[in-house]
Amino acid sequence: MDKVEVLQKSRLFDNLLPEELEMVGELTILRRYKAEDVVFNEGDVGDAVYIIVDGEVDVLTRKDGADKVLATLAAGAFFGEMSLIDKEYRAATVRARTECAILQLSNENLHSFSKAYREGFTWLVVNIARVLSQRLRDMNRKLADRL
Amino acid sequence: MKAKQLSEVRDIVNSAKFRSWFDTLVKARLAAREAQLRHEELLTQIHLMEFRAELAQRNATDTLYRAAGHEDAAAAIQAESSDLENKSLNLVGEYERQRALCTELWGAMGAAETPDRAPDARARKLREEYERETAKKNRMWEEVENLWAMSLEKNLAVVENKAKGKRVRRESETLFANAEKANASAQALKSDGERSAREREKADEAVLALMSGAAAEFDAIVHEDFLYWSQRENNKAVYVSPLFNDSSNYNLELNACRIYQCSSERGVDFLEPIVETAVRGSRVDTRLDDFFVKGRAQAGTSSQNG
Repeated sequence: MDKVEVLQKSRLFDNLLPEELEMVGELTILRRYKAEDVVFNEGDVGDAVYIIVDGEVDVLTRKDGADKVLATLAAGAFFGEMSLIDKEYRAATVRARTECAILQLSNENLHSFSKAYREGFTWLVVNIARVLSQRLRDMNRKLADRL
Repeated sequence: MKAKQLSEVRDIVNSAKFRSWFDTLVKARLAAREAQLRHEELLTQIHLMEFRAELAQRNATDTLYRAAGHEDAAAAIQAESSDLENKSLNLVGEYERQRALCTELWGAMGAAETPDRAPDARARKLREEYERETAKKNRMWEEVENLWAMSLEKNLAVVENKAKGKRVRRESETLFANAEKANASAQALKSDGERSAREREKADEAVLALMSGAAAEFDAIVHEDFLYWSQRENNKAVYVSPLFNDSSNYNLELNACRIYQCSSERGVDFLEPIVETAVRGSRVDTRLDDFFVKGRAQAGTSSQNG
Protein backbone atom coordinates (compact mmCIF):
# COMPACT_ATOMS: atom_id res chain seq x y z
CA MET A 1 0.00 0.00 0.00
CA ASP A 2 1.32 3.41 -0.98
CA LYS A 3 0.51 5.72 1.91
CA VAL A 4 1.05 8.90 -0.10
CA GLU A 5 -1.46 7.71 -2.69
CA VAL A 6 -4.02 7.12 0.07
CA LEU A 7 -3.37 10.51 1.70
CA GLN A 8 -3.69 12.31 -1.64
CA LYS A 9 -7.26 11.06 -1.93
CA SER A 10 -8.30 12.50 1.43
CA ARG A 11 -9.65 16.07 1.78
CA LEU A 12 -7.62 16.38 4.94
CA PHE A 13 -4.48 16.66 2.87
CA ASP A 14 -5.68 18.88 0.01
CA ASN A 15 -2.97 21.23 -1.24
CA LEU A 16 -0.11 19.48 0.56
CA LEU A 17 3.15 19.23 -1.35
CA PRO A 18 4.59 15.82 -2.28
CA GLU A 19 7.38 16.06 0.33
CA GLU A 20 4.79 17.04 2.97
CA LEU A 21 2.62 14.07 2.06
CA GLU A 22 5.73 11.93 2.15
CA MET A 23 6.45 13.00 5.72
CA VAL A 24 2.83 12.61 6.82
CA GLY A 25 2.97 9.13 5.33
CA GLU A 26 6.01 8.34 7.44
CA LEU A 27 4.26 9.68 10.51
CA THR A 28 1.22 7.42 10.14
CA ILE A 29 0.81 3.89 11.36
CA LEU A 30 -1.34 1.42 9.49
CA ARG A 31 -3.85 -0.25 11.80
CA ARG A 32 -6.06 -3.15 10.81
CA TYR A 33 -9.45 -3.83 12.36
CA LYS A 34 -11.91 -6.67 12.04
CA ALA A 35 -15.63 -5.94 11.64
CA GLU A 36 -17.10 -4.84 15.02
CA ASP A 37 -13.68 -3.82 16.40
CA VAL A 38 -13.84 -0.47 18.17
CA VAL A 39 -11.35 2.16 16.94
CA PHE A 40 -12.14 4.43 19.88
CA ASN A 41 -14.96 4.95 22.33
CA GLU A 42 -17.05 7.99 23.11
CA GLY A 43 -15.39 9.69 26.09
CA ASP A 44 -11.86 8.44 25.29
CA VAL A 45 -9.01 10.93 25.25
CA GLY A 46 -8.56 12.00 21.64
CA ASP A 47 -4.93 11.73 20.63
CA ALA A 48 -4.99 10.93 16.92
CA VAL A 49 -6.73 11.50 13.65
CA TYR A 50 -7.62 8.55 11.40
CA ILE A 51 -7.79 8.19 7.62
CA ILE A 52 -9.66 5.21 6.16
CA VAL A 53 -7.63 3.29 3.61
CA ASP A 54 -10.04 0.47 3.05
CA GLY A 55 -13.38 -0.68 4.47
CA GLU A 56 -16.13 1.15 6.32
CA VAL A 57 -16.65 2.41 9.87
CA ASP A 58 -19.75 3.50 11.77
CA VAL A 59 -19.77 6.64 13.88
CA LEU A 60 -22.05 5.90 16.82
CA THR A 61 -23.43 7.63 19.83
CA ARG A 62 -25.23 6.12 22.78
CA LYS A 63 -28.81 7.27 23.23
CA ASP A 64 -31.36 5.76 25.66
CA GLY A 65 -29.09 2.77 26.19
CA ALA A 66 -28.78 1.95 22.50
CA ASP A 67 -26.17 2.74 19.84
CA LYS A 68 -27.32 5.18 17.19
CA VAL A 69 -25.39 5.37 13.93
CA LEU A 70 -24.65 9.00 13.11
CA ALA A 71 -22.70 8.31 9.95
CA THR A 72 -20.93 5.60 7.99
CA LEU A 73 -17.53 6.51 6.58
CA ALA A 74 -15.64 4.80 3.76
CA ALA A 75 -12.18 4.86 2.14
CA GLY A 76 -10.68 8.36 1.87
CA ALA A 77 -12.76 9.75 4.76
CA PHE A 78 -11.12 10.83 7.99
CA PHE A 79 -12.36 11.03 11.57
CA GLY A 80 -11.15 11.97 15.03
CA GLU A 81 -10.12 15.44 13.87
CA MET A 82 -12.37 17.29 16.34
CA SER A 83 -10.33 16.27 19.36
CA LEU A 84 -7.27 17.53 17.52
CA ILE A 85 -8.72 21.04 17.51
CA ASP A 86 -10.69 21.32 20.75
CA LYS A 87 -8.72 18.86 22.95
CA GLU A 88 -12.01 17.47 24.25
CA TYR A 89 -12.85 13.82 24.81
CA ARG A 90 -14.16 11.78 21.90
CA ALA A 91 -17.71 12.86 21.03
CA ALA A 92 -18.66 9.54 19.45
CA THR A 93 -17.63 5.91 19.23
CA VAL A 94 -16.13 4.67 15.96
CA ARG A 95 -16.54 0.99 15.20
CA ALA A 96 -15.46 -0.98 12.13
CA ARG A 97 -18.47 -1.93 10.03
CA THR A 98 -16.35 -4.18 7.80
CA GLU A 99 -12.74 -5.30 7.90
CA CYS A 100 -10.78 -2.05 7.77
CA ALA A 101 -7.33 -0.66 7.14
CA ILE A 102 -6.91 2.75 8.74
CA LEU A 103 -3.97 5.14 8.94
CA GLN A 104 -3.48 6.60 12.39
CA LEU A 105 -1.76 9.96 12.76
CA SER A 106 -1.09 10.82 16.38
CA ASN A 107 -1.24 14.37 17.71
CA GLU A 108 2.37 14.08 18.76
CA ASN A 109 3.48 13.00 15.28
CA LEU A 110 1.41 15.81 13.82
CA HIS A 111 3.39 18.18 16.01
CA SER A 112 6.57 16.83 14.39
CA PHE A 113 5.02 17.60 11.03
CA SER A 114 4.12 21.15 12.14
CA LYS A 115 7.75 21.77 13.15
CA ALA A 116 9.08 20.51 9.83
CA TYR A 117 6.46 21.99 7.48
CA ARG A 118 4.75 25.07 8.86
CA GLU A 119 2.79 25.84 5.69
CA GLY A 120 1.82 22.23 5.18
CA PHE A 121 0.53 22.07 8.73
CA THR A 122 -1.40 25.32 8.23
CA TRP A 123 -3.04 23.75 5.18
CA LEU A 124 -3.94 20.69 7.18
CA VAL A 125 -5.62 22.88 9.82
CA VAL A 126 -7.36 24.89 7.09
CA ASN A 127 -8.64 21.60 5.62
CA ILE A 128 -10.00 20.53 9.01
CA ALA A 129 -11.58 23.96 9.45
CA ARG A 130 -13.17 23.65 6.00
CA VAL A 131 -14.74 20.33 6.90
CA LEU A 132 -15.97 21.62 10.25
CA SER A 133 -17.27 24.76 8.56
CA GLN A 134 -19.13 22.70 6.00
CA ARG A 135 -20.70 20.60 8.75
CA LEU A 136 -21.77 23.78 10.54
CA ARG A 137 -23.33 25.18 7.40
CA ASP A 138 -25.18 21.90 6.81
CA MET A 139 -26.50 22.00 10.36
CA ASN A 140 -27.55 25.63 10.02
CA ARG A 141 -29.41 24.77 6.87
CA LYS A 142 -31.18 21.87 8.57
CA LEU A 143 -32.05 24.08 11.52
CA ALA A 144 -33.40 26.78 9.23
CA ASP A 145 -35.55 24.17 7.46
CA ARG A 146 -37.07 23.09 10.76
CA LEU A 147 -37.87 26.62 11.96
CA MET B 1 32.31 8.82 19.43
CA LYS B 2 32.30 12.05 17.42
CA ALA B 3 29.07 13.96 16.73
CA LYS B 4 28.03 13.59 13.12
CA GLN B 5 26.21 15.42 10.40
CA LEU B 6 23.30 13.77 8.65
CA SER B 7 25.36 13.31 5.49
CA GLU B 8 28.03 11.44 7.46
CA VAL B 9 25.46 9.14 9.06
CA ARG B 10 23.88 8.60 5.69
CA ASP B 11 27.28 7.68 4.21
CA ILE B 12 27.82 5.15 7.00
CA VAL B 13 24.37 3.54 6.72
CA ASN B 14 24.49 3.41 2.94
CA SER B 15 28.04 2.02 2.80
CA ALA B 16 28.66 -1.49 1.51
CA LYS B 17 30.48 -2.26 4.75
CA PHE B 18 27.40 -1.37 6.83
CA ARG B 19 25.05 -3.30 4.53
CA SER B 20 27.28 -6.34 4.68
CA TRP B 21 27.55 -6.02 8.49
CA PHE B 22 23.77 -5.72 8.78
CA ASP B 23 23.17 -8.75 6.54
CA THR B 24 25.61 -10.77 8.65
CA LEU B 25 23.89 -9.53 11.82
CA VAL B 26 20.45 -10.56 10.53
CA LYS B 27 21.79 -14.03 9.72
CA ALA B 28 23.62 -14.30 13.04
CA ARG B 29 20.51 -13.25 14.96
CA LEU B 30 18.41 -15.74 13.04
CA ALA B 31 20.96 -18.45 13.81
CA ALA B 32 20.99 -17.43 17.49
CA ARG B 33 17.19 -17.51 17.62
CA GLU B 34 17.11 -20.93 15.97
CA ALA B 35 19.80 -22.19 18.36
CA GLN B 36 17.77 -20.86 21.29
CA LEU B 37 14.60 -22.57 20.06
CA ARG B 38 16.47 -25.84 19.45
CA HIS B 39 17.98 -25.70 22.92
CA GLU B 40 14.66 -24.94 24.58
CA GLU B 41 13.01 -27.77 22.66
CA LEU B 42 15.74 -30.17 23.79
CA LEU B 43 15.42 -29.05 27.41
CA THR B 44 11.70 -29.74 27.21
CA GLN B 45 12.36 -33.19 25.76
CA ILE B 46 14.97 -33.94 28.47
CA HIS B 47 12.58 -32.98 31.27
CA LEU B 48 9.83 -35.01 29.66
CA MET B 49 12.06 -38.06 29.24
CA GLU B 50 13.39 -37.83 32.81
CA PHE B 51 9.85 -37.59 34.08
CA ARG B 52 8.83 -40.57 31.95
CA ALA B 53 11.82 -42.61 33.24
CA GLU B 54 10.99 -41.74 36.84
CA LEU B 55 7.36 -42.66 36.34
CA ALA B 56 8.26 -45.96 34.65
CA GLN B 57 10.71 -46.80 37.47
CA ARG B 58 8.08 -46.09 40.11
CA ASN B 59 5.50 -48.10 38.20
CA ALA B 60 7.95 -51.01 37.79
CA THR B 61 8.74 -51.03 41.54
CA ASP B 62 5.03 -50.96 42.42
CA THR B 63 4.40 -53.83 40.00
CA LEU B 64 7.26 -55.85 41.49
CA TYR B 65 5.75 -55.40 44.96
CA ARG B 66 2.42 -56.54 43.53
CA ALA B 67 4.09 -59.71 42.09
CA ALA B 68 5.72 -60.44 45.45
CA GLY B 69 2.30 -60.02 47.08
CA HIS B 70 0.78 -62.67 44.82
CA GLU B 71 3.72 -65.03 45.46
CA ASP B 72 3.41 -64.55 49.25
CA ALA B 73 -0.33 -65.20 49.05
CA ALA B 74 0.33 -68.40 47.06
CA ALA B 75 2.81 -69.61 49.72
CA ALA B 76 0.37 -68.84 52.56
CA ILE B 77 -2.49 -70.64 50.85
CA GLN B 78 -0.19 -73.55 50.04
CA ALA B 79 0.55 -73.90 53.76
CA GLU B 80 -3.17 -73.84 54.58
CA SER B 81 -3.78 -76.46 51.88
CA SER B 82 -1.05 -78.78 53.27
CA ASP B 83 -2.56 -78.43 56.72
CA LEU B 84 -5.96 -79.43 55.38
CA GLU B 85 -4.40 -82.32 53.49
CA ASN B 86 -2.77 -83.62 56.71
CA LYS B 87 -6.00 -83.25 58.62
CA SER B 88 -7.90 -85.19 55.96
CA LEU B 89 -5.33 -88.04 56.00
CA ASN B 90 -5.64 -88.34 59.80
CA LEU B 91 -9.39 -88.32 59.50
CA VAL B 92 -9.36 -91.02 56.81
CA GLY B 93 -7.33 -93.19 59.25
CA GLU B 94 -9.89 -92.59 62.00
CA TYR B 95 -12.69 -93.32 59.57
CA GLU B 96 -11.15 -96.69 58.62
CA ARG B 97 -11.01 -97.64 62.29
CA GLN B 98 -14.63 -96.56 62.73
CA ARG B 99 -15.65 -98.59 59.69
CA ALA B 100 -13.95 -101.70 61.17
CA LEU B 101 -15.80 -101.12 64.46
CA CYS B 102 -19.12 -100.83 62.63
CA THR B 103 -18.43 -104.09 60.67
CA GLU B 104 -17.61 -105.82 63.93
CA LEU B 105 -20.84 -104.55 65.53
CA TRP B 106 -22.79 -105.63 62.47
CA GLY B 107 -21.44 -109.20 62.86
CA ALA B 108 -22.24 -109.30 66.57
CA MET B 109 -25.73 -107.90 65.92
CA GLY B 110 -26.37 -110.61 63.26
CA ALA B 111 -25.43 -113.35 65.74
CA ALA B 112 -27.66 -111.90 68.50
CA GLU B 113 -30.77 -111.42 66.32
CA THR B 114 -32.34 -114.73 65.10
CA PRO B 115 -35.54 -114.89 63.08
CA ASP B 116 -37.18 -117.49 65.32
CA ARG B 117 -37.30 -115.33 68.45
CA ALA B 118 -37.94 -111.75 69.49
CA PRO B 119 -34.83 -109.57 70.05
CA ASP B 120 -33.68 -109.54 73.62
CA ALA B 121 -32.06 -106.72 75.56
CA ARG B 122 -28.54 -107.56 74.38
CA ALA B 123 -29.57 -107.66 70.74
CA ARG B 124 -31.37 -104.24 71.12
CA LYS B 125 -28.29 -102.76 72.79
CA LEU B 126 -26.04 -104.05 69.99
CA ARG B 127 -28.37 -102.53 67.32
CA GLU B 128 -28.40 -99.15 69.11
CA GLU B 129 -24.63 -99.23 69.40
CA TYR B 130 -24.29 -100.21 65.76
CA GLU B 131 -26.60 -97.38 64.63
CA ARG B 132 -24.78 -94.79 66.79
CA GLU B 133 -21.33 -95.84 65.53
CA THR B 134 -22.57 -95.98 61.92
CA ALA B 135 -23.89 -92.41 62.26
CA LYS B 136 -20.50 -91.36 63.65
CA LYS B 137 -18.72 -93.10 60.76
CA ASN B 138 -20.96 -91.27 58.24
CA ARG B 139 -20.26 -87.89 59.91
CA MET B 140 -16.53 -88.62 59.74
CA TRP B 141 -16.78 -89.34 56.03
CA GLU B 142 -18.67 -86.11 55.46
CA GLU B 143 -15.92 -84.28 57.28
CA VAL B 144 -13.26 -86.00 55.14
CA GLU B 145 -15.11 -84.94 52.01
CA ASN B 146 -15.39 -81.37 53.33
CA LEU B 147 -11.65 -81.25 54.00
CA TRP B 148 -10.95 -82.53 50.49
CA ALA B 149 -13.22 -79.85 48.97
CA MET B 150 -11.52 -77.12 51.01
CA SER B 151 -8.12 -78.47 50.07
CA LEU B 152 -9.08 -78.50 46.40
CA GLU B 153 -10.21 -74.86 46.61
CA LYS B 154 -6.93 -73.86 48.28
CA ASN B 155 -4.87 -75.76 45.71
CA LEU B 156 -6.62 -73.97 42.86
CA ALA B 157 -6.03 -70.60 44.56
CA VAL B 158 -2.33 -71.48 45.02
CA VAL B 159 -1.91 -72.20 41.32
CA GLU B 160 -3.83 -69.09 40.32
CA ASN B 161 -1.77 -66.83 42.62
CA LYS B 162 1.48 -68.41 41.44
CA ALA B 163 0.49 -67.80 37.79
CA LYS B 164 -0.54 -64.22 38.58
CA GLY B 165 2.71 -63.63 40.46
CA LYS B 166 4.68 -64.83 37.43
CA ARG B 167 2.69 -62.64 35.04
CA VAL B 168 3.02 -59.51 37.21
CA ARG B 169 6.74 -60.15 37.71
CA ARG B 170 7.18 -60.32 33.93
CA GLU B 171 5.20 -57.05 33.67
CA SER B 172 7.50 -55.41 36.19
CA GLU B 173 10.54 -56.64 34.26
CA THR B 174 9.17 -55.01 31.09
CA LEU B 175 8.52 -51.82 33.04
CA PHE B 176 12.04 -51.82 34.48
CA ALA B 177 13.38 -52.27 30.95
CA ASN B 178 11.24 -49.34 29.77
CA ALA B 179 12.47 -47.18 32.64
CA GLU B 180 16.03 -48.05 31.75
CA LYS B 181 15.38 -47.22 28.09
CA ALA B 182 13.81 -43.88 29.06
CA ASN B 183 16.78 -43.15 31.30
CA ALA B 184 19.19 -43.94 28.48
CA SER B 185 17.19 -41.67 26.14
CA ALA B 186 17.26 -38.88 28.75
CA GLN B 187 21.02 -39.27 29.05
CA ALA B 188 21.43 -39.17 25.26
CA LEU B 189 19.20 -36.09 25.09
CA LYS B 190 21.24 -34.50 27.87
CA SER B 191 24.38 -34.77 25.83
CA ASP B 192 22.48 -33.33 22.83
CA GLY B 193 21.27 -30.58 25.17
CA GLU B 194 24.81 -29.79 26.27
CA ARG B 195 25.92 -29.63 22.65
CA SER B 196 22.99 -27.40 21.76
CA ALA B 197 23.74 -25.14 24.77
CA ARG B 198 27.28 -24.72 23.44
CA GLU B 199 25.93 -23.96 19.95
CA ARG B 200 23.53 -21.43 21.44
CA GLU B 201 26.32 -19.79 23.41
CA LYS B 202 28.44 -19.64 20.27
CA ALA B 203 25.60 -18.11 18.25
CA ASP B 204 24.97 -15.50 20.98
CA GLU B 205 28.68 -14.72 21.08
CA ALA B 206 28.69 -14.21 17.30
CA VAL B 207 25.87 -11.66 17.64
CA LEU B 208 27.64 -9.93 20.53
CA ALA B 209 30.91 -9.79 18.57
CA LEU B 210 29.11 -8.18 15.62
CA MET B 211 27.43 -5.66 17.89
CA SER B 212 30.55 -4.70 19.78
CA GLY B 213 32.54 -4.52 16.54
CA ALA B 214 29.95 -2.12 15.11
CA ALA B 215 30.61 0.49 17.81
CA ALA B 216 34.16 0.96 16.60
CA GLU B 217 33.49 0.22 12.95
CA PHE B 218 30.69 2.76 12.55
CA ASP B 219 31.64 5.11 15.39
CA ALA B 220 28.19 4.68 16.92
CA ILE B 221 26.51 3.95 20.23
CA VAL B 222 25.30 0.40 19.77
CA HIS B 223 22.38 -1.03 21.69
CA GLU B 224 20.55 -4.26 21.05
CA ASP B 225 17.96 -2.81 18.64
CA PHE B 226 19.27 0.58 17.54
CA LEU B 227 22.45 2.39 16.52
CA TYR B 228 22.81 6.03 17.63
CA TRP B 229 24.96 8.93 16.48
CA SER B 230 25.06 12.33 18.21
CA GLN B 231 23.96 15.12 15.91
CA ARG B 232 26.53 17.73 15.10
CA GLU B 233 23.71 20.11 14.07
CA ASN B 234 21.93 19.84 17.43
CA ASN B 235 23.68 18.58 20.55
CA LYS B 236 20.37 17.64 22.17
CA ALA B 237 19.37 15.32 19.35
CA VAL B 238 20.64 12.05 17.95
CA TYR B 239 20.33 10.15 14.70
CA VAL B 240 18.93 6.66 15.12
CA SER B 241 18.88 3.64 12.88
CA PRO B 242 16.79 0.61 13.90
CA LEU B 243 18.10 -2.90 13.29
CA PHE B 244 14.65 -4.38 12.71
CA ASN B 245 11.27 -3.61 11.15
CA ASP B 246 8.37 -2.78 13.45
CA SER B 247 4.98 -1.57 12.36
CA SER B 248 3.10 -1.21 15.62
CA ASN B 249 5.17 -0.68 18.75
CA TYR B 250 6.70 2.75 18.18
CA ASN B 251 5.24 6.11 17.24
CA LEU B 252 6.29 5.42 13.64
CA GLU B 253 6.42 2.35 11.46
CA LEU B 254 10.12 1.53 11.70
CA ASN B 255 12.18 0.27 8.78
CA ALA B 256 15.51 -1.37 9.46
CA CYS B 257 18.58 0.70 8.53
CA ARG B 258 16.56 3.83 7.85
CA ILE B 259 17.71 6.99 9.62
CA TYR B 260 15.41 8.71 12.11
CA GLN B 261 16.07 11.32 14.74
CA CYS B 262 15.07 11.73 18.36
CA SER B 263 15.88 13.93 21.30
CA SER B 264 18.64 12.63 23.56
CA GLU B 265 16.17 12.92 26.43
CA ARG B 266 13.27 10.86 25.00
CA GLY B 267 15.30 8.50 22.87
CA VAL B 268 13.34 5.97 20.83
CA ASP B 269 10.21 6.74 22.84
CA PHE B 270 9.54 9.41 20.21
CA LEU B 271 11.15 9.16 16.80
CA GLU B 272 10.91 11.59 13.92
CA PRO B 273 11.60 11.12 10.23
CA ILE B 274 14.47 13.09 8.75
CA VAL B 275 13.34 16.17 6.83
CA GLU B 276 15.35 17.28 3.84
CA THR B 277 16.06 20.96 4.54
CA ALA B 278 17.37 21.34 1.01
CA VAL B 279 13.96 20.39 -0.40
CA ARG B 280 12.16 22.54 2.14
CA GLY B 281 14.09 25.68 1.46
CA SER B 282 14.37 25.36 -2.29
CA ARG B 283 11.06 26.85 -3.39
CA VAL B 284 8.84 29.80 -2.56
CA ASP B 285 5.60 28.58 -1.07
CA THR B 286 2.68 30.69 -2.29
CA ARG B 287 -0.16 28.42 -1.32
CA LEU B 288 -1.35 30.46 1.65
CA ASP B 289 -0.97 33.72 -0.26
CA ASP B 290 -3.03 32.22 -3.03
CA PHE B 291 -5.67 31.09 -0.59
CA PHE B 292 -6.02 34.22 1.49
CA VAL B 293 -5.12 36.98 -0.94
CA LYS B 294 -6.25 35.82 -4.35
CA GLY B 295 -9.77 35.11 -5.50
CA ARG B 296 -11.81 32.12 -4.48
CA ALA B 297 -11.42 30.39 -7.80
CA GLN B 298 -7.70 29.87 -7.27
CA ALA B 299 -7.95 29.07 -3.61
CA GLY B 300 -7.66 25.47 -2.50
CA THR B 301 -9.22 22.71 -4.53
CA SER B 302 -12.15 21.08 -2.87
CA SER B 303 -13.89 23.63 -0.66
CA GLN B 304 -17.54 23.29 -1.52
CA ASN B 305 -19.35 25.60 0.83
CA GLY B 306 -16.70 28.15 1.80
